[in-house]
Amino acid sequence: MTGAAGGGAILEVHALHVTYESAGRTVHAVQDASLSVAEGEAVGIAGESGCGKSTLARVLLGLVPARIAQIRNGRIAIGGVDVTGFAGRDWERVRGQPVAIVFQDPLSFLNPVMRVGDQIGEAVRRHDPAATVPARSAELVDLVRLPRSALRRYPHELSGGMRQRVMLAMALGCRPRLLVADEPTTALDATTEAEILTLLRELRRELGMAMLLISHDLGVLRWNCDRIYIMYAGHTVESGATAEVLSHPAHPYTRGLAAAARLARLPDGHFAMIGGDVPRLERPARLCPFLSRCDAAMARCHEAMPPASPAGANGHRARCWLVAPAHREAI
Amino acid sequence: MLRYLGARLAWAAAMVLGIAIVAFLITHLLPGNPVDALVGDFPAPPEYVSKVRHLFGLDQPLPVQLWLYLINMAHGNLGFSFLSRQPVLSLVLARAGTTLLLMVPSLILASLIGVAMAVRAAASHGRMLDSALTAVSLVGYSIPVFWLGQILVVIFAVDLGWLPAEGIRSLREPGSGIGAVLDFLRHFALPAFCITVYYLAVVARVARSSMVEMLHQDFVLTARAKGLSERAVLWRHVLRNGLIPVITVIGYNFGYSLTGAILTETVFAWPGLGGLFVTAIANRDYPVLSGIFLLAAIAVVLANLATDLLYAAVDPRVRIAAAVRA
Repeated sequence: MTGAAGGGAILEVHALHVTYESAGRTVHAVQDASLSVAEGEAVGIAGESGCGKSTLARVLLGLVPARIAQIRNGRIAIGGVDVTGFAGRDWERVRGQPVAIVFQDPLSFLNPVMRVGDQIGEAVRRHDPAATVPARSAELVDLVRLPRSALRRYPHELSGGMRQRVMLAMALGCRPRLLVADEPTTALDATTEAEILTLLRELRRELGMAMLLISHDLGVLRWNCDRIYIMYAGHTVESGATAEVLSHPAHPYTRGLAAAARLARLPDGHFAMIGGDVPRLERPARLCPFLSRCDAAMARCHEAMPPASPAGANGHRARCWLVAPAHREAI
Repeated sequence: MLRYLGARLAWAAAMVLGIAIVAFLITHLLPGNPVDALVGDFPAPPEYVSKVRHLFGLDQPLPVQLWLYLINMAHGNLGFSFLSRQPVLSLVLARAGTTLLLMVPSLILASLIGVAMAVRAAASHGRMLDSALTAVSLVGYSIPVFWLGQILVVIFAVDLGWLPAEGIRSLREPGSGIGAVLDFLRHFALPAFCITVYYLAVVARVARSSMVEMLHQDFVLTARAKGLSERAVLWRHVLRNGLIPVITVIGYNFGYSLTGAILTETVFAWPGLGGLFVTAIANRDYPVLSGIFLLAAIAVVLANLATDLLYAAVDPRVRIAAAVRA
């Protein structure tokens, strides 16, 4: 499933299959994920926890140790450079610049014994050698709407929202062309979450950088992303323009997710939710991974993995037999 | 921070006083009578024995002896050695200097090498280098120092004849200037090696597990994601956080800087506190024993104080907690 954007793609992931070793077991965390992000574009990845979103985000920058995680198949290209075979120091060429990342919990992801200013300064020194570090650091805290006094503080002296702004300032200090934001507001309360999301939108407009926003919250993605990918059990199962995908979901999983997000009350008074659990990922799926939870399953689903097929306007595609041409012909 | 420092100092002073009392009492509870040791191993007339007892104040009740001891201590007077009749303070201080000359450089060396080894080991976590360094530190930790010392003497002093077997300087040709320094270093090498190996192992073991733990912290991911080299990640981010528990161990080691070398000093006839200590025990020389206990205790208290302050310097979170508590 490639994205709608043509020309300059800052990120392209094709048919990625990643396994990692956990407690002596092999987990196929990402099995068949394809996505692309064009320069300046905002793209979202949605899915329940444990569907491989965070693994995907970390594999993009080689942040999972090679001893633990392995790319079994597929391809990752950053700014046209194939990074799939990168090892060790190779990764230093793409980390921070052109791709920076902010993580979920800004307290544990900041160095507790280093002043905020030093942590931001480090990013500037590494990627912006022409800049005067103190001046550029001050500029960066202005940019994320933090008081300049924050530079002299330690992470534990700041509130959750301020810490996430520090993470952002640090990422921006690398002058990235793509910002990967892995659940950036999940650890924050609702008001702070809204502030950070507004800030992200403004920064993207000011700096023109692309963003890959990863979230389990469709509401967050709806207002912040041009396009969206729905991930389930390591597969990208649906993609397209955000409004199109969320208002006309084609894949039964997306439908369930959208219903759950609206907290839609069913006629019997219960909240809508998807029954069952995300499947265990100890071996790669041969059939649609959603099959065991799908209420629209048919004979075809038990025979073969559905291909990604057009499912609507604006490059809307889904990996489901409901929209696959073979199925349509059969009808 | 200043109030914190004041509170720590007051606490340290109280500790020293308590230790002085305990040290005084313990030496008096030891079996054996100092008068017997003083008078010698022959039947002395009772008048002579009681004269000696009176001379040293041993005929006074214990609380009175303790009170006098504390009053004198406050004046810097730790009494006189039963044996040599010299003031305890100058006796102990002179020997303590020699001991520190051996211990402090060895402890510093052990701390630096131990931490460096631990960082290297953690960086190659689970691989050959890591296993090798772990094995080395396990061996260093397990070898008894008196055995290692004697083996070193046999190899380097007796067989190869490269280094002197004992003492702190050559008696025949002590040399002067640079020559004296070199002569000292030749005597220093073997005992210092013994001490360094042990403390290095202690530091490296704690530091390695601390560094490995830090390597798995989230902020290390952030540092890598910034595009920092693995070197910068290790030495700038992992090391400083990983050092926090190591400081405790290093501080603890320094607390033993006066008494930690007794066995080594005995093996190499290093004229430090160790020899004085052994002689004092053998002769029931209470004032000297109390003096050594007191000094050793002060060293531990000072080392703990320094550790607390260092903690606050390295970890800003401790500073906050301390300010709140103080």
